[in-house]
Amino acid sequence: MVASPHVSVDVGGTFTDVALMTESGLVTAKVPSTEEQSEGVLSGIRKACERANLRPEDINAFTHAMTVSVNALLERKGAETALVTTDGFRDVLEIGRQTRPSLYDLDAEQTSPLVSRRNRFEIDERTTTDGVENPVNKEDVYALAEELEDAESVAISLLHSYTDGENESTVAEILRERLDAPVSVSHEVLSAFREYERTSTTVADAYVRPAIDSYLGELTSQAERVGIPAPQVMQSNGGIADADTVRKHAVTTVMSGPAAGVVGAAASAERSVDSTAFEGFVTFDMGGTSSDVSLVQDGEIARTTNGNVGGHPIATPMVDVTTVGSGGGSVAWVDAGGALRVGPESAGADPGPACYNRGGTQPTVTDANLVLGYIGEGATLGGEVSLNADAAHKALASLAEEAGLNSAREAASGVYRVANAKMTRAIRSVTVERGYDPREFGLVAFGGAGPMHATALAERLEIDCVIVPLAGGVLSAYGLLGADEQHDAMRTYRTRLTETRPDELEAMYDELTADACSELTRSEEPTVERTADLRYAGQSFELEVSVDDPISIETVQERFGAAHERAYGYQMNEPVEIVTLRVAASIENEVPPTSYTGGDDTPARERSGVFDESRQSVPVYVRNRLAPSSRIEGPAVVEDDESTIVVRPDWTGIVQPDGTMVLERGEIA
Amino acid sequence: MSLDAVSLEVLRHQLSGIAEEMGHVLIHGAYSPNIKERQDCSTALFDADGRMVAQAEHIPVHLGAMPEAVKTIMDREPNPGDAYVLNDPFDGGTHLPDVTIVAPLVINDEILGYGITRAHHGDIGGMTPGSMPAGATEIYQEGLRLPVVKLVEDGDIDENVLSLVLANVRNPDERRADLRAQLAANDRANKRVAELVDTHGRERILDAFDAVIDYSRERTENELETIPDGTYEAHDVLEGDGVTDESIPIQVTVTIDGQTVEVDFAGTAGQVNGNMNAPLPVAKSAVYFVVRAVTDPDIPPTDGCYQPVAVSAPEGSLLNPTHPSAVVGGNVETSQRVTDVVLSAFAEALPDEIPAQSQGTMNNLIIGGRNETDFTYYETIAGGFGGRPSRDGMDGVQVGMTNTLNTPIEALEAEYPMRVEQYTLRPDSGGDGQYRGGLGIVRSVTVEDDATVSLLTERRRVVPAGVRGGDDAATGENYIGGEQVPAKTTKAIESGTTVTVKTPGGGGYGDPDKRQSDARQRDRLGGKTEGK
Repeated sequence: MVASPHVSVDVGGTFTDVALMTESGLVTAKVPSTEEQSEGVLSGIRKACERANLRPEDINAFTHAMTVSVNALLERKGAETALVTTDGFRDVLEIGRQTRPSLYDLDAEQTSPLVSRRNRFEIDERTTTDGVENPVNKEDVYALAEELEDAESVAISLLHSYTDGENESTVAEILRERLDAPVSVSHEVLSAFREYERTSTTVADAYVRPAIDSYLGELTSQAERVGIPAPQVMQSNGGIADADTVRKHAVTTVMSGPAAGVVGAAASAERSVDSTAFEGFVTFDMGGTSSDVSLVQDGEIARTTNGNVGGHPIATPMVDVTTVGSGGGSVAWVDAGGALRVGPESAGADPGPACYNRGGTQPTVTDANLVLGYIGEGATLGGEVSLNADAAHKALASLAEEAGLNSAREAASGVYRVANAKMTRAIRSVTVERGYDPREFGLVAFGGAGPMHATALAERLEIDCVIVPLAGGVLSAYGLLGADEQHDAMRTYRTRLTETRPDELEAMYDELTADACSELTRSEEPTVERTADLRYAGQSFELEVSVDDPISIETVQERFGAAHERAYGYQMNEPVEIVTLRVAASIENEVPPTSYTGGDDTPARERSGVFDESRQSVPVYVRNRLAPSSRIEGPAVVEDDESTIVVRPDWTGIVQPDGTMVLERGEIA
Repeated sequence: MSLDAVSLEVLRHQLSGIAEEMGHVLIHGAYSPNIKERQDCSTALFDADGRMVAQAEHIPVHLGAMPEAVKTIMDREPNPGDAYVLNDPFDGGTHLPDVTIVAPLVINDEILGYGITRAHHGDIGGMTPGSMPAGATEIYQEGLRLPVVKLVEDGDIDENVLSLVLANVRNPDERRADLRAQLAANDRANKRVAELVDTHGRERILDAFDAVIDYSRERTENELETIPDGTYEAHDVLEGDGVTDESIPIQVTVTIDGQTVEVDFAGTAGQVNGNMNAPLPVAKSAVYFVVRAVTDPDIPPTDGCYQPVAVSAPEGSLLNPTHPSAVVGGNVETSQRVTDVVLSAFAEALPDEIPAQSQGTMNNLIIGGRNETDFTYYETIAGGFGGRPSRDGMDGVQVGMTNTLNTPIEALEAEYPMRVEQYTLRPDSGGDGQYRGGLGIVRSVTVEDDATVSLLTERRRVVPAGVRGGDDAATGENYIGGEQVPAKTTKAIESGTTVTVKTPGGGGYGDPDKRQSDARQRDRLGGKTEGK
């Protein structure tokens, strides 16, 4: 268990959220994010401390999720990076997989590489699948070092370095000695075959590294000044690591923020329902411009090694988030074929939806929710503007006319249904395409618009349980409090399963385990999880299965067959191949329980809302007044500061001891 | 329209979601590099009348050829639980390596439609490994020809049929796994459509089939209407048929009339001795590709997109050949030239919208082992995209009828006795212009075993043209053991021989004098141009 008091800070695009756990309970705070992220972080911590009546120097643990690296990637504001590759291959980064971005759009734009051609350098060397064949000549590297004097960071990616990293190490050693710039080395960043993906990941690491390094350096010293421990940082894989480790593995932070959200949602779900009754949870975060969908199973967030950020493949393990372009601000329109469409265009925050009354006239999903009565007129949704129903009505009436529908209400229902169809497709793709039946999952909904759509989505997917955590806005910060410390190690090892020797595999797993554990900062006994990526020898896509200690080849084979059957509907009596061995070492961390009070379970008012295709008067509850174990029968609406929960007919919401609302469909006990 | 605006959009998402899921199952399960790495495959749903209602978009070359395949199966009056296989280019297929499986979508004992999967298998027999022989003159040399054959009856694979197929191909284990993956994708379609019917009811799904088709048709018609009416012509050539080097003319006349377009290939050469003949469905695919690109790529691909489009070619011509001509190059190379020529005709009508010519070839490289290491390697190599009306052409990308991925060098060297020596962009290969044409690629491979090399390429003699004052691009070049070889070559090589392919660039768009100086400087500093 992490020491208490424990503060966690999640930096988002607009707000910086803080959760502070002390012996007397949880305190939260929200401050505007600042251009220099550390300023907002510190002011948020101060604010939370004031509320908790605590001095910053009393804080014993500090965890943190941030957007420094992803912003550098997306806004192209990273370092002037140089790339060193094998002679003949400097364009691998630019050619990529040689596909164009769109099949039919003749005017499509190509993502340009993070390192331009003139900053890509070749060196005479060769490694093959059998190891180093042509060693690096040190004189060449000395000469290269002179050419690289102006680089702010350097990435080294040589062919087949995953089998033998000696040549990369030789180059790195000299460059580290001669240059001030940080050097990222591909076999250290990602010891996996497929040169383009490994090079892209290594380049991304080098590209964001100076920014991460100076940010965490600054934050650490600022924290030190006020007596707070150095931050532990949420990594893309959903585990935390100390600042010094992260500064050496900068690319592992690109999904820091989304990972914190999913971890928080997972923690909330696990606390509120008996998770053994479910195959897992689908997390659904619907914000202003888009929605993020992810999976959680056995308390573990689903991760991918085929990530892509801003058009750049990143193959280090990261939370597997599927994003669809529909959020509260998505614009509804009628296309040339007469279909009612939602997004991808978004009204954004300014002018925003028509109901913001800031000059926007296009109907959005938020406008539809307002017309349907799912949001109340005058609601503030997190603070800034008060919503205007007339403006929303007007925008949807003109949409109705265009779409050949009878009324603004009908158009609003249509927008709601189409947005739901797009999100359902995303949820189906993260479940059924991986062989899971969504009916066996619970749905965890958060974000400004998530709880408004959750019960409707659940009905489409035949999901019977929806979980809406309290404090949606600080959910990520809350998740950080309980995040496990975790480190990954992996290595490409291609061999037929039946031709490998268990002792050989054990030796490699031991090495990987030592590697992963070496970065742990706490002295408790870590949990070590061993997995392998397998496929039928001949396929190109692997399935990850767990590997026992000690290893049993037959069990691994059986698990692979079952995983293949589940994902693709069949298994074959053909040779199976190991491709990658993975180890994740973690030290578990309990999320502290939160106490929640409230005592009123009578509706605050009534409002007319559209349910079952008709407008009816429904009760409106104020969420933070509801007492634990209050039961809300649908149809009803539950309002909180940032969102509203739509309880559709046939659903019952029950308030949990920590304030989470669990909604169940049909008859419940 | 039989569905309201909302239901239309909702069901459209559900149907295309199914086609995409089929593609996912197929690509993840397959063994052929062509399917799993290059994604040279397509999956689609058809209604009971044989009209396409949804397609997953992996590769355009299958667009026009899927309906023919479904029709051939419909003629056989399939039963629930059956699945048919075919690849005959003269009866529903494209070229022999493209193997198609069609299975009826059966819900409550009624056939509501068909699921179809088509995939380019790594080998289907014939005179050379990879089944793409450069010198073939009859289809019999190109591999095993499968007319419509029942592969699955009442849910069980017919082992007799399967063993006949497997006995005629070079990598039977790979074929079996690929077919298995295709069948799994067909099964997935059946399952998902059944779920849809369960949720929405039979009538509503049938309405949805009609509605998505009408929707695509209307949108395509509206787009065609904005193109100026008129008759537009264009002409181009292929550089030989693999038997001789003689140029083969392709002529097109495109007539836009209100909401319809007619594309006629009268004036095109007669069918040739070599393998560059393209069955009419292949030519249709190329035309459909262009129509989708010049209308709105956002229009979902259904039968409705193609209802306003009529395509014809004289019987016995290059683009409508008769049995038993050889056709394997038609799919991969002739289709690219048809794309160029039809785009050129549309450029007459829409001069401010159509790019300069792209590399116009797939640069097919096939290497097969002649010794005990019995391997077959097939790759297509990217090149330059033409300069565009408001931006440069893309460097080093697949163009036109293909968008397949490369094989990673580290995968290739692990799986084949080959060493990649170089994989770089080719400076100065794009045509100069206000907007520069994209660069070609240099790919150089040393084969470490005795092998047979086949090169099936184009644009080695006739340049990809610039437009509106833009310069032409550099042509491609092929080398075996340091010696330049023709566009279409099959040659036995000794171990240690290096094969180098330099692919063409894209033509330039607009007057080079109008090119902005910072763009020129960027090209020079970045090593994309060296000469100027």
